[in-house]
Formats: sequence, C-alpha cells, structure tokens
Amino acid sequence: MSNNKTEVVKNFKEKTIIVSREFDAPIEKVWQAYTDSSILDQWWGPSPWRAETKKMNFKAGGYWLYAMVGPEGQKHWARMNYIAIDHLKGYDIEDVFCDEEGNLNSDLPVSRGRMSFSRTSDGTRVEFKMTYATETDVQKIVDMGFEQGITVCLDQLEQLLKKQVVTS
Amino acid sequence: MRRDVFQAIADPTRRAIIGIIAMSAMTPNAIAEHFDMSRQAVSKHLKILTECQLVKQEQTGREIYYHLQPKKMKVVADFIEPYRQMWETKFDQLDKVLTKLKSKK
Repeated sequence: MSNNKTEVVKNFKEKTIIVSREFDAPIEKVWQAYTDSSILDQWWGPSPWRAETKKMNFKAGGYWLYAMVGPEGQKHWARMNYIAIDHLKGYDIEDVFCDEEGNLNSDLPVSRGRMSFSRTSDGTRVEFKMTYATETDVQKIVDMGFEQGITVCLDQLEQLLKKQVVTS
Repeated sequence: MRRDVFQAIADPTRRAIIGIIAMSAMTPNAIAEHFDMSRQAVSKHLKILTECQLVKQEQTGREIYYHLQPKKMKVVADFIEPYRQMWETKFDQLDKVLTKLKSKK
C-alpha cells in the first residue's frame, strides 16, 4: 500500500472541497487512468462500489456517463461534463447527477471542478477542486461520501468517537 | 438499553439524520421528508439520538427543532473522515491500476 496521503480540505465559506493525492507513477499514466473510461471503471468506484461506464467522450463539450453500482446492485447515475481540457495539465468538469439516459436530476447538487495534474520529484500530484453553488451542497456531497465511505470505515469512525467520548 | 454514541451511529438512518442536521437544526417533519419511512419511525430514531445526547430539542416558537450537540459532535469536523476514506479507497485502487499500467511498458 502506498504511503501517499489523501488530503481533503473543505471550505464552507468558499463552498469548495479540495481532494489531493500523489501517485508513484509518471504523469502520462496518471492522466490516462483519469481519462480512459476502461481504466476509470477499475478504480473510480470505492469498493464495494464500482463504476460502470455507459458512454465516454473525453473532449471539450463531451461527457462521461457512468453508474456507481453498489454492493446490492443499486445504481447511482452520474455524468461528468468536460468543459475544457489542457492535455496532461488538467481539465475542467461539471458534475451532475442524472438518470440512465444522462438527463439531469436537478434535486441533487451540481458541482464545477478542476482536476489538476503536476509532476513531483518521483511521481504525479493530482488536485481535485470542486466548487458548489451553496454550503448545503457541500454538506450533501460530504454526506453522500459518508454513505459510500461508511462501508469501509465504520471502525475508524468508532475509534474517533471513542476518543471523543473519553475527552468530552 | 445501551445509549451511547455507538448506539447512535449503529443505524444507517441515524447516521443519515446526523448528516442532515449537521448543517442546520431542523423540525422532525423536515427531517422525515428525507426518508422513505413513516414519521413515527423517524421519531423513534430521533428519540434514540436524543437519549444518546447527540441531538437536543429546542423550542422555537411553535416548532421543535433538533440540533446537533456541538460538544459531542466535534465529530462533525471529523465527519470529513469518511469522505476522505472514500477517496483513499479509490486512490488505493488507482495505485494498483497504475502499477499494472507501468508494468505494461
């Protein structure tokens, strides 16, 4: 397992969440892993969830239509619109929740984001900055991650709560 | 019966309720609207959360609002942790994919 740490910074005031991580691989490979749907399907869904691509067109104006498939086969459809692409440097996206055909589901938050790639001494750093329309949307996204993350980290949460109980 | 934070977070509905009222206090009706279950069932969860002291009722005018308890819920700050963990899981998967990709060439 990698020693690279995932950092998450949420800023309610600015309505942003920044997720960053370094990878021990050249920028070309990391870029490929983020932009080729057959590779995205292998890692974009946090286990036990998995991503399943329905359509991918990686170019400005194109989009990635995919489902997050849960352990019981439940599907959350999502569409990532590609607004602008700067090869090997980054790309701008719009994240929307949609139905199977890619039609927008307006009840759920839309975020805009930029995925930035940069070379490090021995690998690649990726920073994903997401901007939301409202503070509530920031919380919704965190909660949704909570739903997917909880399956892998209830133990850690309990540890955390345990500490909290002891100190409060 | 056990009434502590572990009891409180043991149930997915209660975890969801905590997430929902983390941003702002809400009335039981507003909370119940987020769920596909009877208001009675939601009330039961709220009662348990109250007994676990993770939430507190406060009367504002004619409405009762449920608030998260900031002290018990310093955890709210740490609520980012499951989100971070979700990304960490994805990135660990990506590490493996990248190792495969690198060995191809």
